[in-house]
Amino acid sequence: MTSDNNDSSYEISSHSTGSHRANSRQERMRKHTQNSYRSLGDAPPASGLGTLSNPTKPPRKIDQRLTTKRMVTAGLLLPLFMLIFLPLTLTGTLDDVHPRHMDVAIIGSETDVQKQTDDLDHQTAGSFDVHRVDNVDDAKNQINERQVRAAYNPAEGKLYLAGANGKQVNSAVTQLFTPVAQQSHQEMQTEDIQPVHEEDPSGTSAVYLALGAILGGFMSGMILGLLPVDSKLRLILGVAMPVIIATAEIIIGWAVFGIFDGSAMGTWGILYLLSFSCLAVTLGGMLAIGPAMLPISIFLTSLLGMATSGVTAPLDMVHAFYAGIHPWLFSSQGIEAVKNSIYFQDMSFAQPIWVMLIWAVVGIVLAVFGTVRQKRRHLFATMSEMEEAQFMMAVGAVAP
Amino acid sequence: MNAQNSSVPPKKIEPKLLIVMMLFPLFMAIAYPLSFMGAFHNPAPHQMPVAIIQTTDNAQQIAQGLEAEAEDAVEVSTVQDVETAQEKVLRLEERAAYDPATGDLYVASAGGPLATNAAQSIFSEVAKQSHTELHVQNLKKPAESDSLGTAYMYGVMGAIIAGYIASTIINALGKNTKLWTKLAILLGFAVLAGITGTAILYGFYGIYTEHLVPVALTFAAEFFAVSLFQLGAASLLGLASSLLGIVLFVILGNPALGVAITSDMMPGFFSFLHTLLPSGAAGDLTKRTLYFDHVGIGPDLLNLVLWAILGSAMLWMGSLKTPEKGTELIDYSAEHPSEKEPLLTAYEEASEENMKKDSDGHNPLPDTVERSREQAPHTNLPETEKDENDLR
Repeated sequence: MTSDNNDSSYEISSHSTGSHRANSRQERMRKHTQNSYRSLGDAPPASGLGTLSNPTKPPRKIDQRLTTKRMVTAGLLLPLFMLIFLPLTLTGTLDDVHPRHMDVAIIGSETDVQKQTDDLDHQTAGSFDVHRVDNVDDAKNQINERQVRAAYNPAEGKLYLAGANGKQVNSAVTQLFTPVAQQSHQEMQTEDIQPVHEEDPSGTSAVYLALGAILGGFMSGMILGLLPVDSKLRLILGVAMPVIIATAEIIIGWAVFGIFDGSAMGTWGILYLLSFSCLAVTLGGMLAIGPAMLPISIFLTSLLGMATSGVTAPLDMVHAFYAGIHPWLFSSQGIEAVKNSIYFQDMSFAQPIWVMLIWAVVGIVLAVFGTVRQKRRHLFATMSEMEEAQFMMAVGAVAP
Repeated sequence: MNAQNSSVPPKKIEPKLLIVMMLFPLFMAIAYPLSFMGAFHNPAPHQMPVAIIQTTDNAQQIAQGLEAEAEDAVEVSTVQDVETAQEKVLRLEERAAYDPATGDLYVASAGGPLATNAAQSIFSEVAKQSHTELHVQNLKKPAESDSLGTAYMYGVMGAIIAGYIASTIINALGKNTKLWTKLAILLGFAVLAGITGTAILYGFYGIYTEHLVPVALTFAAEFFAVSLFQLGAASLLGLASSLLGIVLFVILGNPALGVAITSDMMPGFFSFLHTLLPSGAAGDLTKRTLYFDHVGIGPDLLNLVLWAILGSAMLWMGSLKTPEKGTELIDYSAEHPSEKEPLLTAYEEASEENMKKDSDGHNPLPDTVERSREQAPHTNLPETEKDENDLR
């Protein structure tokens, strides 16, 4: 069988003779020496789609129908993934919601309230963890730093809580301390030391801003990773897109809806880091393992991030699985940090910043690894051809 | 079979094209929070249907006073007796019904906990003004594990989003797949949607114990309606259908679901979307199936059917755009020389196969044109400039 050579396709026949193999190889070698790559910088751009091809392999015939069938089958794994993992991950935050080791405090000296504290802790074992604080200032500090959800002062019959913790938490702590007050023949009063903004009564607006940052970062990473983009352009857009996205979220929250006021710099910084970490993780994964990163990234950024953030459902009111994931997942830490940057500014932001930075660095490392690997493959493919060409020319010169 | 050369290097994407493509993540980063915050940032009653039971002489007066004071927040009606009021609450026609004689407030929190709380707040003021103590009678509570009454929400969301994605994937990767194959795949996936949704809610989490099959059927119906619409949109609009689908089913569709925040707690625009979009119908359908014995599901089913019909219509319209591959083409002018071509004639698309060079390197004309030249009557039209000069 003769090969049907043209500019863009080659054919290898299993029945060809040695001379035909030499001819087709020389054709390829001539073409590749015209496009030879001398360094990684010359090699074609890396991409998520590029992870699926191997330039060192010889061209092969393909069965178009079977290929289409395989591609559709592989593609349909994505909706199947959504059918299973979206409800599986998120429904758990709505299942059997009740206090689980929720930290609360009783205010007073050791002699006055320690027994009451121990008794309440014993009675509510598993639901609440009750401990003592010395005075009201300490209690307020602990509430603002989110070490406790509420603190009750039996001397005044006053319950200190933070409206920004959400209605579910405040309803739970109110239900806990109302009988305590009644036992003391007191009418319980509540003081909200960290109320939500007037236009944000449910305290969830920050979540939507965070989700916008996540979506923007994830999709930017997906496009930059999947397509063959020049590395410099990839770097520039990878840094610039989170800037634009974070700015857009601030404009939405502060200007468009006017929900928040005051300085937005801290929130902007957190939104930037959140968007950047989502972009870096998605981009790095795409370049390393290809389109298979898409469902993984959706899971890490949106699904698991939302579920374990503690904002959509309080972590001390849902299954321990979510609280276990929360400390080390970048999206989860980022969503919570966005809300805390608005309502709980006394908190330390070291942990969310470090977690997001570490994941971003991992993503960048994966991106570099994936890029270098693909470029090396192209380099290796052409160098092998050139080495063969040199050998054949030497043989051809000697043979006659 | 085709030959594939994997050693041909991929082309770099043009920077300008890339920057245009980056508008899409920016669009999502802006549109998503805009939509969700628009719907959810300040939920408040909006034309919430409530009733006053005519058990006292001043029931009408109470109704008028409440409507005047609450303005757009509530739509107050009166009902004759307690049984009628309870029936209306269980049919979700009224959010709450107040008995001024006893101070009883009939609600069904499974229909929407946030809305129920809002109704309670409203009527606690009414009771206070009447010097009556309010007693809340919850006629339908959510399942014990479904603390917030919204656990099925993500099952509905999963079915809708998966339906949109499945059609998008099939159109993108399986362009040459036959229509019946595509529909069969979507039907199979719809069944899978029903199974996986209920397996998670009933099996894995054990939240619900009743109405398993009807709930599975609702998930399947929701998936199929959305996927059929998306399939039709892709057939008619091509790539633009992806953006349309994201806007309809994610950006606008998720807020319009009406589960966590019901339509009478949303702004008017999203309340309208709730009645229009399939996600709104899906949320309401699943809620009524799960908690209210399928009462009043007719409009929701009709909504899903209409979206499916719209998708089918778009599929048909899309099939009119270009001839299918493998269809036998004719040279109309050769076969009917005395007739004009019919209106809305579908021509063969110019393709690489039509324009392949022959062995001499010339571009042969398509066979149909070649046949027409052989068969067409001879004319005296000049073929060269010399001929033109001769004719003059």
